[in-house]
Amino acid sequence: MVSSLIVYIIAFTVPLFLSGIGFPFFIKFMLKKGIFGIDIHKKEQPKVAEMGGIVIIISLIISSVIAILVVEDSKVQLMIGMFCITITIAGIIGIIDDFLTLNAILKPVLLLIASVPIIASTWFSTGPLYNPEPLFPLIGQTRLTIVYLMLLPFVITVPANAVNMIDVFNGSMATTTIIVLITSFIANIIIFDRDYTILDPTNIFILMITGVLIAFLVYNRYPARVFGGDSSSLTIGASLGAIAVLGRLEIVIIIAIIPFIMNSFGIISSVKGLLERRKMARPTKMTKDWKIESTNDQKAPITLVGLVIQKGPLHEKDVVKSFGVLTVFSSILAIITAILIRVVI
Amino acid sequence: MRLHKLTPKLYRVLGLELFVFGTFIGICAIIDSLIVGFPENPNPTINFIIGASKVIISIILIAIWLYVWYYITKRLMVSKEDIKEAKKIKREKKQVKMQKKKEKKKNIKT
Repeated sequence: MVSSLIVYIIAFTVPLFLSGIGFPFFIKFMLKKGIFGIDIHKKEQPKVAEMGGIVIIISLIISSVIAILVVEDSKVQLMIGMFCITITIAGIIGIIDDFLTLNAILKPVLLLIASVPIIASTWFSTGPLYNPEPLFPLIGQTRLTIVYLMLLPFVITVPANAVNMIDVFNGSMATTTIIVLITSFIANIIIFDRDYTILDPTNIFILMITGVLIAFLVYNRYPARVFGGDSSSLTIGASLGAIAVLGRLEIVIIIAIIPFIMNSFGIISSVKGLLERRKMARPTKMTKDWKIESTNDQKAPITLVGLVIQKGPLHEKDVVKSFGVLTVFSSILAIITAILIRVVI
Repeated sequence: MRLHKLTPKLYRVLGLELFVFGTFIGICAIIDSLIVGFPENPNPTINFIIGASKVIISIILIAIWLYVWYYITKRLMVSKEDIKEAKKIKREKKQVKMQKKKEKKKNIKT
């Protein structure tokens, strides 16, 4: 029997190793095939390989298969399988979006399909993989059976789009999401008192995504050598939603992604609905010394970046750092939430 | 830029995060003390109605919280000058409407 600690080590290192090796080859291949984007926030306007999400998806699928083979508990195997299917569906929608540029309304609608495996588990003979009794701070366990089932379809599409909207600068998505994942890991330990000796699928999911994101960050951080594209942001966003539901960390993750939600609120309210990113007016422009400043265009969406640079232009690295500071702060609040949940359960 | 120089630029957003968190915990406290603590009724029909009402009230509270969060985020992201300009345009539109109404009234009288 493989011990839980070894499963956790495998869950973290396999995706880290696979994507760490995969990215250099992928970057070369994409540049050779002419599939690249121009990094408009740099003076040199470098060519950067696109659709890095493909490596993320492949790494996660292989890692999930290995994890299923290593784990012996059938329920955990089923959960890993469902998690893998969910994020793969979101990833495929992302790849289609990268190639065809989906309509801004069609994309979230299609993402509803990604939550089907989780909803379908309601009718599994082993019982649903989720627990319709979310944990609230100070209240504890709540029974929201019908309401929970009604909200389930949005569990993937909302975080997937929120993460997609924050993926605008080198390393911004990876940095902030890694912080959220670390928070989820700590919150999981605080709330459920699970240490490394107990095999917990939530920890496996968190470690897998963190591993793949660390490798991605190496190539996506400033100055980026690869762009993740929608294929990466939708996959990672979907994984956050799946972790929230399967791991009963709904409220903790909502609090941890407050900056993401604020960004989405700003965009949706300013463009009055959902609009494809490429069809929106640009909210930022570059100064002569290559800092990011606001365009003051009334038609441009109001974003978190706009709020960060309200007091003056900032370098791209500093904007990403600001996102990091905001996410660290919301993560501290999320950990306080976890403690307030632990106190009452 | 160092973090200690960067953080003061973010105090408004950090404040909003704290506000969002604080109000959420406040709502949870209200739900816990007033709604969850509401005694159950031995009659199953009444008990069902009470249970459903509890859920609906809680959802309304959460919806209000989400709307307030949305509204403040929207206001915070718009600069003071933009708000002034928007108010000015609104005022001007109102004045034009009023003038049109007055003219209509005059026309009817004549």
